[in-house]
Order: sequence, then structure tokens, then C-alpha cells
Amino acid sequence: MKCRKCPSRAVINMRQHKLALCKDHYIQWILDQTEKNIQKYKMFTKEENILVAVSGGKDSLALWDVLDRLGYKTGGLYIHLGISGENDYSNQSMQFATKFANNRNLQLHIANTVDMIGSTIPEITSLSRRDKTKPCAICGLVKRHTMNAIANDFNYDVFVTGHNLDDEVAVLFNNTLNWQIDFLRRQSPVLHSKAGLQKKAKPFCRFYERETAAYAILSEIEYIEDECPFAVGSTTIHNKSILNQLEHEHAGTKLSYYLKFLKAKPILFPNIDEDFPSMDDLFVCSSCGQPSPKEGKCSYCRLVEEVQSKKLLR
Amino acid sequence: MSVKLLLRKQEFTFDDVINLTVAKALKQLDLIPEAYLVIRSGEMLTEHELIREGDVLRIIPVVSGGNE
Repeated sequence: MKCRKCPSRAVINMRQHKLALCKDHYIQWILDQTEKNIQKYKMFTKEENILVAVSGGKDSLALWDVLDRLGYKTGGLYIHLGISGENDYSNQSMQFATKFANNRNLQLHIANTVDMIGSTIPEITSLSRRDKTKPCAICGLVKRHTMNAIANDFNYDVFVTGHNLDDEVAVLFNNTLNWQIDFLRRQSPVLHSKAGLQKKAKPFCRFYERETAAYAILSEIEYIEDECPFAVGSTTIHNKSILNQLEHEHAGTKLSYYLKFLKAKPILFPNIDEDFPSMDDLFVCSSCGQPSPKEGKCSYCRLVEEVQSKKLLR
Repeated sequence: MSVKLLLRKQEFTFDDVINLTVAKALKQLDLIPEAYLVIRSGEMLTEHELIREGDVLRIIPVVSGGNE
């Protein structure tokens, strides 16, 4: 199979775009498409400071690499979650993130849940009254709080994540199955800043997961291939498998599902700007000062309080 | 001569490589191409690529994600 743009051998065939490309043209295609997404969804500009949430995995490191190559002003944030497992997951992934930043002379902020809360994510999960089989929900809460705090403290204008199209359609699929109207309303390539909540953007939201992995491999980015031990058997992975089966039978299904959802959103939610919590609807957490949908302490601070008090009782 | 396919810690061997493409090999392993990339000597292969005798291929899973 030949590259669409030159006589070289194609290294990837993207059936949903009917496009096969060689290594050089593929890397350029990813750069061009990312820039296009940033412009299309008005994510950020080259004058703004961008905080990239990095996990040491393919998506976030590929995203940081692309933004750096496109000339954006970026810093990274790695959150050490204290997850060990067979592959010493957190330490390994931190090494990949650190090596990436050092090689490119980019600033990497490192936060650690042990410093912030006094416990690792597995410990927090076992101490919390929340569902002990779902550390991912706690992990998500800790990550969102930390990303927002670091973005505010270090004057970043926007924080970006490496969420790809497979991540987006897996969430969309789950929210559609459960008719989670509020989550559907909020799903977007960009969420604008509000009342202490930093602007968030997902510049890779139109790339298949396979494409971000291909970019990382072709650009010789070293990343952690092993999955987080808690993600094994997760609903997200199960949904991705179902969606990949559909994609296999009908190329373009995932892309069409996502893009048609984005197109339908103004019809589904005509007053979307009014529906979003306005500045008046959000409260300020009495402990950390971050925005919270409820009065008093935010969910993160309540979690910290619960974990620390249970540790004292041990 | 045969070919070897490596997937994480697993190793699979194919003895019959006549007209064996990447897509056919993945199908025989019950893997769908949407969830994997295949590498031969550092080069990424499309699903149409023919596998050659003596090849050692790495199959890289691309799916990740927890339950946030």
C-alpha cells in the first residue's frame, strides 16, 4: 500500500478517512490536523500558557510533543498516584514523563498524592466510604482538583488533556446508554473557564486512539505501554471494545457518532450557555477556595478530610 | 521457517506464511486491527502488508482508559 501523497510505502491506513500515509506525511498530517482542531474549536492561542496533563502514556506525551512542535508555550503536569502493581505503574510512568520533559527542556510540574493528601490512590480508595471497587472515580476527582489548582497557581491560561476520539465516544456511549443528560450537555472539545475553573481543551478529540499511538511510535516517543492495573476490566475499555467491533464492520462509525453528536448538541441543548452553571450557581469551597457545585467544602476537600480522619483512627 | 508475533508477554508462532497479511494474522489471533498496531524491525505495517518468513512482529495494543 502506497502513501496517498508520495510513492513511499504507507505505514498507516485510516479507513475512516480513506487515507493511507507514509511516516513523514503521517506526522505532518497529525500536526496539521491538531492545529486545525485548535483553531476550529477556539481552544487557545500561541500567546497563552498551556498546561498539559501528562500521564506518561501515549496520548498525553504525543499531545505535548505536537503542541511543542507547533510552537505553543507549554508546561506539563504529572500527578504521582502511588499505584504500584506488577509494573510499578506510577514510578514507571513518571520516569517516562520526566525523561520526555528533560529531553526537550520543557517544564514539568510533579504533584504527589502522598504529599497532598498523605496517601496513595489505592489507600484513599480503601479508606473512603465510596465504592472500593472504583478507584478510577477517586483518581479522576483528585486529578481534576490538582490540575485546576496547578493551572491557577502557575498562571496557566488553559489546561489540556490527551483525550482522543475513542475516549470521547466511549464516554458518549456510556452517557447515552444511561441518558446522563447533564454529562452529555457538558461533553465538548473545549470547556470555557468559569468562576475559578480553568479552561480545558482536548486537541486530540478527533484522532482515533490508534492514530495517537502511531504518532508516538513514529516520533520515537517512549511511553508506558502497560495499562494502569485499575483500568483492567473497566467499563471504558469494555465500551471501547464494542465500538471497535462496530468500527471494524463499518469504518467511520466512531468518528461519525462523535461528530454528529457535536452537530446535534445545539438542537438537543438549545440554551446550552444558560444551562451551564453560571458564576452565581457555583460556590467557593470553604477549605481550598476552588469552585464547588455545593455549599461548604468541595468533594475533594471532603475526601481529604475523610481519609485523614480515618488514618488517625487506625 | 516460521514467523513470530509478540504481544506483551505472549508469543505466537505461524508456520504457514503463504499470502499471510497482517490483517489475516490478527484475525487468526482473534484481534481486531482497530485496537492494535504491528511493528516489524521498527517499521509500522498497514493491515495489507504481507508477512515474510522469519519475520518477528510486535503487536502493540493501543486501547487504554479507566472509569472516570
